[in-house]
Amino acid sequence: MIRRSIVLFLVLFLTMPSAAHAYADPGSGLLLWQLLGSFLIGLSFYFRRIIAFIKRLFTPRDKR
Amino acid sequence: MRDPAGYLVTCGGRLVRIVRPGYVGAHEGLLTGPWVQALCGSGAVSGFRILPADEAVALVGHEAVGCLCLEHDVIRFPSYPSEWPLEMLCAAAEHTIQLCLQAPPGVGLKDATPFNILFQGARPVFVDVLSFESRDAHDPTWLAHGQFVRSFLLPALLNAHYGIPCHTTFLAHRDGVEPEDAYRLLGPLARITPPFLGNVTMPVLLSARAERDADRVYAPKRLGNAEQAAFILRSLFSSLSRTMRSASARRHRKNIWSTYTATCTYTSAGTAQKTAFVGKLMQESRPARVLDVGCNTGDFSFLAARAGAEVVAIDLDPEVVGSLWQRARAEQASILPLVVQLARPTPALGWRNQETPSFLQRAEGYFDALLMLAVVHHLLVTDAIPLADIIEQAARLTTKWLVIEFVAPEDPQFKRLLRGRDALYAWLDRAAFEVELGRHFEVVRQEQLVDTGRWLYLAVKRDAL
Repeated sequence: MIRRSIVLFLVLFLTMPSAAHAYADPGSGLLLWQLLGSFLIGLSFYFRRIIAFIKRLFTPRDKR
Repeated sequence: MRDPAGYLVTCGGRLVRIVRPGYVGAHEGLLTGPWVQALCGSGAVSGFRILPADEAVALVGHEAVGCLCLEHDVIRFPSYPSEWPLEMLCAAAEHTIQLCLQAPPGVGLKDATPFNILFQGARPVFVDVLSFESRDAHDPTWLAHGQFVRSFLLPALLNAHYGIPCHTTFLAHRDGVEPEDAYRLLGPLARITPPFLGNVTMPVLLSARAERDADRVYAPKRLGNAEQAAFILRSLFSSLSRTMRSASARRHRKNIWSTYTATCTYTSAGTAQKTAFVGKLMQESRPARVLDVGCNTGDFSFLAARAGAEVVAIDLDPEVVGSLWQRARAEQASILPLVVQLARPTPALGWRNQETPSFLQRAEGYFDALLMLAVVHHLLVTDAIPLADIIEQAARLTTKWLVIEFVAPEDPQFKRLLRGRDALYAWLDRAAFEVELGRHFEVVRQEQLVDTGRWLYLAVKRDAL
């Protein structure tokens, strides 16, 4: 039941039309999204060797 | 024109970029540096030379005083995103991203628009050298990311997933598609799944928040570690490149023109006869610039290109133009394929209608040979253009040669287009066609295609005789 409610909430949250912003800067949402992505990628920078090692484990030897 | 750092002027066929005095210091070192010079040498960036001050003033006039003047290599037939199929838009995007990825630390692109790219034949060339800027190597953000998404990524994704041809997007919107506009087109599932989730839905949902915190969002960002900033930017560019490649690879439909040569009425003998007819002109007269109207698979464009001509090949179908571009790129042929409908050619666009000239402004008088094979009946019937106007337009496009195919109303393909309007074209026969042709051209050679009853004409423009 809880899982179903969460899924329903996510679907409604992501599919409902956003409010109209007549004077909104259309680029600001993209920039904020880029910043959030950059934050996560920036974190992965510190674990890049571990991530590369895990990736290598799942990469066939002939494709390395 | 829009860049405060500089602008372009043409002086007697020479193309000069004037960098305004306040921006010379920021650009001169970068433009004369080894990286940009190497890109110019490889052809990835349009070549230029810095004009000595006295030569610049003599060429441009007093507005050059105190400015940095660059004389660019001229790409003689410019084309614009409103004429590119999906494949060419993706190639332009990939070219832009590769420049970002290859840039040395502390250098980047300040904008990312398809208008920074022109095609030399089928090869993309970056032309706006003032887009290169020095940047803080510790800054992990790319301010041009939003412009890249709007003007490359979203038009490509909407083309690939929803069949909205990207060239039509640029006819109406210079800066591409806003995420808010794309969002309204998407179904519920597309909104919550890649690639639209990250490029449309999340930016739309975040835009209200971003607007409230605009000062913080746009404040310069700086990390303590330049290597980390470079890692973030590389990841961003690689992600954009992957998304563009996935759009390019996605085939959303087959169409009738893609398989035209397999389904049309020509036999192999007819095709060979036509090839020999066109080939003879190319070998004997060696036209330098050829326009192939209704190029379809581009077989005659390749014939002309192999004879040394610079070819512009136009067709109304973006899918066949995309396929032709891929083939021309693979064979490094001097062919520029464009999505242009001769009955409704690309208009002049932009500020004062002067930012991008119309197709006819660029094409009229530029070509010394014009191919109009199996196309006149489409213009006549489908587009209802009078024959006299078609021939007059042909005479405006070519300075000398015209290869034109006459298709009679009895031809099965002509009949398919008529749809019961036979009476409208009852007057049309070879004699009537030759009278109209004769008003602007003199027929040099004519030949009946053995299998279809169609006629090929090689004609020379009267004022070129």
